[in-house]
Amino acid sequence: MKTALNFLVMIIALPLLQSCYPEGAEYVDELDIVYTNYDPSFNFNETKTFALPDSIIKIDDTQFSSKNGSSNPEFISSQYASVIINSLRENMMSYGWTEVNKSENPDVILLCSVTSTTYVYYYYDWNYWNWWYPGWYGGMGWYYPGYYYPTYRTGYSSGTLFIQMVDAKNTATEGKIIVPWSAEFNGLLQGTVTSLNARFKKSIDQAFIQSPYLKQ
Amino acid sequence: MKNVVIMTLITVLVSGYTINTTAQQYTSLQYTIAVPVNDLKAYIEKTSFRGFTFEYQTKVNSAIAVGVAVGYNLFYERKAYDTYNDGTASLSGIQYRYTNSIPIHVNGMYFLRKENQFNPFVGFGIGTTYTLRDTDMGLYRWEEDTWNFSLRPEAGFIYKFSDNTGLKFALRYNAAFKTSELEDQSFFSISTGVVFIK
Repeated sequence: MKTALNFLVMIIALPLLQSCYPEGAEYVDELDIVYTNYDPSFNFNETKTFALPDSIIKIDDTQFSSKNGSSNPEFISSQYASVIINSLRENMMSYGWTEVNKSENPDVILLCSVTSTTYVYYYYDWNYWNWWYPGWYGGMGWYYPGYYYPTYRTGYSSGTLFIQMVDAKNTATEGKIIVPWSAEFNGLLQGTVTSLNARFKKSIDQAFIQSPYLKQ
Repeated sequence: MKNVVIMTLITVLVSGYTINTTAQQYTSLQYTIAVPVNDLKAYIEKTSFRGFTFEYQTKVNSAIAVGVAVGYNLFYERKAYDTYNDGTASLSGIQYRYTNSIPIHVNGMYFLRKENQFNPFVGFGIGTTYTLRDTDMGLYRWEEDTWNFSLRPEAGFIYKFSDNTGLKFALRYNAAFKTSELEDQSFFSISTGVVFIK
């Protein structure tokens, strides 16, 4: 009888413990993360000028192939893109960089893209950028010196904004373009345009706060 | 190491049942509060109010009881938005940290006063503590687990309400030593609950 009572107590106690298991995040923005990485051998102080396009690529599941640049990829809505690009521009300028046109021989180029796939295996090739990137030729690709591919990982994801800073003057061997800095923002794509844009801006600001080596 | 601990536990558990089935037996379920120390505290500072301990002991003589104890405590803490660096990489966000701790010990109790209504005791346990650590950040989870070698000294008392039931109270130090996967996962605990005596 007593033994039965003991087990009864345990059977009641276990679900009670389970029910008070803390749930973690309650609000969407509590799941926002900002990741940055860089090449420590790259001298950011010798670079002064940057260029960036006015659109942000929307990466989808289908393979993009336009090696001759005859077609453009899909872009995200300008109501988001303008906020992201302006935040990026403001942060770069506040760190002492000067914006120039892509035809004016910039030191670095900033490229933004967004994905909303469930699994994050963020690969895209050069051909996405041949609509805009100066001096493009077939067979080129990205190269992240000294650190692992920044978005190569798995996990549930609803939305990722990926920014890469490209060395526009020094091309590495085998046609690989050096990407000395990259940033990634991941979170749930939920909320109004205003709240999403506020989160994008906050995340971009954070990317620069945690990358003080970009200062001129 | 893990196998040695498990085999020891099984052996003593089985022998505990066969030592003397007519001897007095103590079965206890307790609510357990745990206070992290050392490296566990460095990861989660907050006290765990989510925990329990189950114990079963058999008296081998009038002063000593031996048996087994199994427990569970969940440590949890929400870390404010911060930046974590690893080499050249930086990651910012809010972290939700969880440590699930399951101590499993073969233990002995030495009663300082025999056959009294109020019976203080000291005890010692040896065994393992299974630790499962989850770190949630954004939509990602990092999971680590390990079996720590564990020792557990304790002191407390049993207050008998009747010949068959009583209150058990114990202060314990659950030492869970460093492994190759995780650092020291030790904690202090305060445990109280009902004990059934047969």
